[in-house]
Amino acid sequence: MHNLRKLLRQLQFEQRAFWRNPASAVFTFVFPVIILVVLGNVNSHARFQVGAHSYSYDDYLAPAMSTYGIISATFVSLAMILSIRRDSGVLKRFQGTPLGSTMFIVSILISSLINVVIMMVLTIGLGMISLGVHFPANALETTAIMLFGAVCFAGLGVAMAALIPNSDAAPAIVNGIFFPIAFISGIFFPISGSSILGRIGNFFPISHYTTAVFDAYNPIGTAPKVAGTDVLILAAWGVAGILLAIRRFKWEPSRR
Amino acid sequence: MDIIEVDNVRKSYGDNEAVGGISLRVGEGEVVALLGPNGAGKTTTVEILEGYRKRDSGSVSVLGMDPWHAGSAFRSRVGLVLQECALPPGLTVLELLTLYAAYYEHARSPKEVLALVGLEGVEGMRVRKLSGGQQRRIDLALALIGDPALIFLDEPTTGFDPGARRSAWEIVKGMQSIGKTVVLTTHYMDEAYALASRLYIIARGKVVEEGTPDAIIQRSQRRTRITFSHADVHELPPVEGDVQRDGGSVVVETDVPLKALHTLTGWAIDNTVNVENLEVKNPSLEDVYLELTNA
Repeated sequence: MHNLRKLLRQLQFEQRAFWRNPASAVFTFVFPVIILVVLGNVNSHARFQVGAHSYSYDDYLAPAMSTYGIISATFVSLAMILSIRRDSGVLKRFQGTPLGSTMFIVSILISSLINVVIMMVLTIGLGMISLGVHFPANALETTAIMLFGAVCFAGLGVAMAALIPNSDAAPAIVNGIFFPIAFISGIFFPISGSSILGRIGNFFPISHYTTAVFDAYNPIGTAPKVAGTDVLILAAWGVAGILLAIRRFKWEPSRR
Repeated sequence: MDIIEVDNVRKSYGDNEAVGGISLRVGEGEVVALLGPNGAGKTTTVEILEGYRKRDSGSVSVLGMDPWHAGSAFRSRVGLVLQECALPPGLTVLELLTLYAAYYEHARSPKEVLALVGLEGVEGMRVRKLSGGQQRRIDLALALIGDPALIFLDEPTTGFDPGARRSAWEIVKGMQSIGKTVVLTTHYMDEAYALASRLYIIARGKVVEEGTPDAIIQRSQRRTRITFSHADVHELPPVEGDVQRDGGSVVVETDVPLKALHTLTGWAIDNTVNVENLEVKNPSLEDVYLELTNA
């Protein structure tokens, strides 16, 4: 009972801290929404070919922006929040209480998964309403893949926070890694897997995530099945992130 | 058994030995100060006691537990104020206190701890809107909310203005009066003197002196200093003690201040010497401290 109350309070704290910080809330949510609306409207007549089938760009963009938003709400957001809290001493202060580090991490992960669900509903809903995007052919599978990716990128976010030397450098490092990889991973436009960019992108988890989400989303019912390799590569990155996070994450400002 | 028992604890960072064999005892209900200059090893010592740092060697028992291996049973009985105050900026005071209260099984109410730190009526304010001193008091309120038996205060008044320091002292005295054991670090002599029932003077990672403030002064065998200046060229009378002259200013260090003063004032009146800035200073904790920590 006491642990449940602790968890709920801590979760409430994480949600308050997130939504009351305009920088985190705005950047996490407004950016993918703006990209979705702007690129979606600019390219609304564009079509592209996957195998023998032709898709509208908007049907491609909406699930891709969902993955973009999910990575923002997990990887980017956790790397920033944790490195800022570590450097300001907030984490050290938490560590001095009976809260417990497991409870702390579990709470912030649940909190970011809440944001992920809001992000999914927001991007897909907006895509459907304003761009005429199709509803996922297999909503359950899509949700499962999206959430699975969210957990992997959350692990990578904690690992990233462990690698960031100080919080001043956090935005530059995190966005400097996220944007270029997102671009070559076909988050904004489809990129051929056989091109040079595509091949570089395939090394990283984002392209596999985007592909898996698109295949599950299957907007006009003709996409291939979700590839096991995409899920496995995503999982491998997630596990690597979680292991690195466990080994390297520090609770105190790095001064010595 | 004492609340804190520390024997010969050592801790190095690379080649730099921060704590070089410190032993301490803190009994229940005591207010004990670790007094020493910056870099003396006070914070490292306290952080070993708080469970933040692992000692290299020596034994540590706090509330009967080894802080490094102790979990939430230890954390729920210890209140901390760290050297740097770091509170999540977006919450209101009441939200923050309610959050911390949920961590403890037997928490005090937010209202109660705000009264203890003398900060009522700020419940609805966002933490970032509070002044530095107010944030520090909220930090203290958070340390008290779990109703801990033992409280660590690491330089609790650094950066305070004199008024805020006085009120912080009243709070610490209040904690002692409700039976809490307090360990504080400070580099302010007056703070140690005003608050501590016993103190450890720490320099270069070692305890150089220990006891009540008065006992430490007495043991130091410092002498009373008589200082004055005079413009005339008269020879000084023979005085018991050491006399230093620099032009017209004179410093006399003596074990018999009354007698020396009598000699000097008698001499001045007899010879109509115009004595200025006459001062008699008893040895202070500061003198002893400076002597011990500069050696």
